[in-house]
Amino acid sequence: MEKTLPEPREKILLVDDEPGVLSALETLLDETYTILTATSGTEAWQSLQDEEIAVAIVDLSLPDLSGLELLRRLREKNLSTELIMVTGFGTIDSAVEAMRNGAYDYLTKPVEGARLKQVIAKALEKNALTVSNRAMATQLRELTRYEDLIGQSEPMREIYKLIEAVAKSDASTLISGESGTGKELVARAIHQRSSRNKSPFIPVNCSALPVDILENELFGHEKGAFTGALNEKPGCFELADQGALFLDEIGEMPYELQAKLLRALEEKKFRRLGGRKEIAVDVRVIAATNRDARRAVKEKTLREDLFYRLAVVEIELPPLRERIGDLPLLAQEFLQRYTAKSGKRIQGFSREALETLSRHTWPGNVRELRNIVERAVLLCAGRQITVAEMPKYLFDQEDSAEIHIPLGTTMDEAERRIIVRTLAAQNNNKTRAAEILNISLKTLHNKLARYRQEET
Amino acid sequence: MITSDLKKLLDKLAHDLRGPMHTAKLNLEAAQMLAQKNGGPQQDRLLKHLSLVAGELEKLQDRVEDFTAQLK
Repeated sequence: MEKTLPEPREKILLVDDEPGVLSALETLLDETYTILTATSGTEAWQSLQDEEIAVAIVDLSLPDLSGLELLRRLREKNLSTELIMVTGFGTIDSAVEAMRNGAYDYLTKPVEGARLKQVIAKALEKNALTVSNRAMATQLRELTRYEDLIGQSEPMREIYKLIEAVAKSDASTLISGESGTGKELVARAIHQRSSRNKSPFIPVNCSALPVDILENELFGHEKGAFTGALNEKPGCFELADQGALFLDEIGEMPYELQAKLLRALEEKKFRRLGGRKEIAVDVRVIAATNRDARRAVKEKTLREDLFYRLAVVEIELPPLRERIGDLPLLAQEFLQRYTAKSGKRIQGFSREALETLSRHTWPGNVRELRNIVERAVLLCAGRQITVAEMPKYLFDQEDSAEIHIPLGTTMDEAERRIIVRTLAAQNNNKTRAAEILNISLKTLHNKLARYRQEET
Repeated sequence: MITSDLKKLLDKLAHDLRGPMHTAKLNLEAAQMLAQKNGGPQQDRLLKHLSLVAGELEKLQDRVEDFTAQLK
């Protein structure tokens, strides 16, 4: 006989005030499932709370708590148990009500064993799905990182959820986000979480190369395809077969090459440069752009048909300034990474240093932060990174398009900063500054006169 | 002509019959399953008796259902 490991058996709770029913059902079901029984609603409710019951088969009319009351409590406590109601014919209205309140199904007496087994199997499937979805949701909620992405802010959690969903399909995905937000990390995470993760992930930067070389990169060439083509060379499409091809900066891809790319994507086959033979590939395509892809379509730098082919799913990565709450986590992560490399023993950031980092608007996003931390680790001689190791430009608020006004600032002082900085940004053009501030030129002059007076 | 009181009474009777039928049927199925599995020299005879009970229960159930249908 074949020996198999015992699988963990699902728990089924049988609830009926007729012991004869319980013993029969137990015999019918205990080969397949772990059976628990209860002869009253109260007893059943206890089991439902104490044990992880996958499915409960409940007689609608019980002496104490009704089946409907059990159902209500289950939903109130948000337990994942699926409930199958068993009813006499006369109580069919209650059965309908039970369904409306979230019972999985109802069966009328007398119940056939075979039918019951069918319904149980389906209810178990639903329960398993609910349980795994909940586990995933909890996991994602508690996550501070996901693959190589770091962050626990709301926008990042949304991103994790999207990746999780997208990874399960083969849908082409377009990732957009400012540079330095981690588009390639998202692409890699999708690949890692997909069933293709044993096959290669091939990144290609579409902006860095002139059209001929990019075409050669993507599709490869046969021997003798052009002067200097001494050997045949497979392109990235071939290398990514069964895996994923990551097309970074897709918006920068030469327009004439986009048509060829589209054809390869649609037909799932292509020819090498100088080749006759069509090569079929099974590749998942993930593209990324740091520009507004829709605008690129309007401006005719990105083919519309290619855009729609690539953007079956769109993932928009938030810039760091929109998830500034993640900054300490990110900074700490980079600190550990570079400290480990340097062999130094730096433990953290001074409060002032963290505040300075949090104030910055991060046009270069996470990559900029990473570079700053790398540099700081290099310069740091102590146990803590302080403002002394921060680049000077972080304090040059003059260049920034934003003003930092800490809590505790008076209205007067806030107004003064806004006026002075607006004026500076307009190269001292008072008429323009007054327009932007939406005050009269006269008011502006008066205020400036007052500031001058206060300073002397 | 059935009065509404009588109709209620008959309805209740049908409902009351379904409970015991439900218990009997499930226990019969359990017994059939055990008889199939366990074999033994008398297995065939046992299965035959059980199948007889099953047939009678089936008849009883049909009667109750017909009866309920007529009440409507």
